[in-house]
Amino acid sequence: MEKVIRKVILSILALIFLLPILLTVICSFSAGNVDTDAFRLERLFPSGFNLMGYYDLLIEHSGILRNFWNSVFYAGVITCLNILVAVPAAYAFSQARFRGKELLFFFYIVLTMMPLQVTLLPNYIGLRDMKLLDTPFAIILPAVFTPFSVFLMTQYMRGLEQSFVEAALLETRSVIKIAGMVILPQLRACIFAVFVFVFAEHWNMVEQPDIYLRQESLKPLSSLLAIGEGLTASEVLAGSVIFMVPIVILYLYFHDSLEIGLESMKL
Amino acid sequence: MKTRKAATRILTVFFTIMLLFTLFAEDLYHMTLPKVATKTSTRKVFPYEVTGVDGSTITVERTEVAIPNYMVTGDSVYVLTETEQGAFVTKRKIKTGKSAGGWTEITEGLSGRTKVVIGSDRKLRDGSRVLVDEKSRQVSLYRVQDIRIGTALESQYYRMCIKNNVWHVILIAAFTLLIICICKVVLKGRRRILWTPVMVLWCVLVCFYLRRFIMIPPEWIPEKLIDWNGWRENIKRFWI
Repeated sequence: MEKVIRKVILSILALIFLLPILLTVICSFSAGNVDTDAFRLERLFPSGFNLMGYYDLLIEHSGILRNFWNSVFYAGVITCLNILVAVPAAYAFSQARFRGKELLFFFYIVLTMMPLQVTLLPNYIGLRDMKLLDTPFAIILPAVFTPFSVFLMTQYMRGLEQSFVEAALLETRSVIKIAGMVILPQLRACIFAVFVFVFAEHWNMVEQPDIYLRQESLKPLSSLLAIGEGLTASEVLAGSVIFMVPIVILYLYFHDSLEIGLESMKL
Repeated sequence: MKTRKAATRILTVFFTIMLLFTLFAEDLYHMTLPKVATKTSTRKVFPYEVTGVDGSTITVERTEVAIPNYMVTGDSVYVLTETEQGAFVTKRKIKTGKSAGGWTEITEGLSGRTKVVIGSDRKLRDGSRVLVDEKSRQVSLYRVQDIRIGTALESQYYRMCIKNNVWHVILIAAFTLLIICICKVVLKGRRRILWTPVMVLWCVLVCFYLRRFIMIPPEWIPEKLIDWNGWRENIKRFWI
């Protein structure tokens, strides 16, 4: 009986959390019946079904597809470069011994906890002086060096068995060989977890494109959907559904690695 | 592993569809523009009866803007505007007056020599871009105000509509493929039993959507799937 009550309560909670997504998906298939000013539960069962929102978005105002591919480009490039930077940095923090390591790692933790708005202005000034504003580098460069992935990977690497590294040190003194053949194979789950976090964070970014980019053709879809300028309600809803699909599929792809990675990170 | 395979499949299908729309959106747009036939409004002479001071009726003639009777289907018409960017239609409210000799007088809303849309191959929207097809008289099958047309022309109308509205089929095919991929991932084991109701529901929704474009008479399918206003009225009547 207790199990049944628990299941019912959890199902109701899950439904409440899923309600905005459910409403978005259902209302995207009922263009023209969408009332954005008033929320009514009956909107979950709209009176019509049509694909005009998708037609408007994919065919009539197809310029928005460029922004979709911008999102894919930014999120993909940032995630790959972020991992490329984070793995050696985390290896250095976990395995190497040098003066000031703990202090440097402390600054990384402080930066991780800082909200994005604090670093927006210094980044803007730096990008302006480098004449990178209104270019894709304005989005990519600040995001590649975020400390969050370094912090996660360092925590994970500190939990690895040191006996493997000590055994490898008997064979070779090459740091690159040890990192490539001993550490990296064990990092698979952690890399996938970091991949999902970083991709999701930069897939949904809104503030950075709004501030660093002026041209509409360079902005990602998240920024356009957040403002909704020049788009009808049905287009925004259809765009939101299309925008949700890659992230959901990414989660389906990596969900088991995500669980293992998070568990091992000892957060 | 199976979930990963299915996720890869869905991802491939999704990105392929998005790539196809990105590459061919412009062509699809031009292919799917509504085609309209137009007729220019003209000035015609209408007889008016005027009562004189002595009570006698005098017939006078007045020249007014007029359109053929068959073009009058309500209190508004679509007017064609041709610009550098293309041809657009705007909905304009009109007031009609007398009818004589197959022509109806327009007292308000139109000026002389305005191109009025007499037919299109699908429902128009105010401000939408169109293609003007003066040569083909087939486009006059679809009267802009009313989708119900004479039975003699119905089969031609539906065949032409399928040809011109192929994007509906493309979009529905894309969605069907995505739904099948998602169902393969989600509906496994005991949940396989849900395959049939999900597919039946999808088919019903598709038929409802395509009711104007395939050979199902509109009378067979209601205008709305769920009439919430009607339900509310019924409930009120029941309680009161």
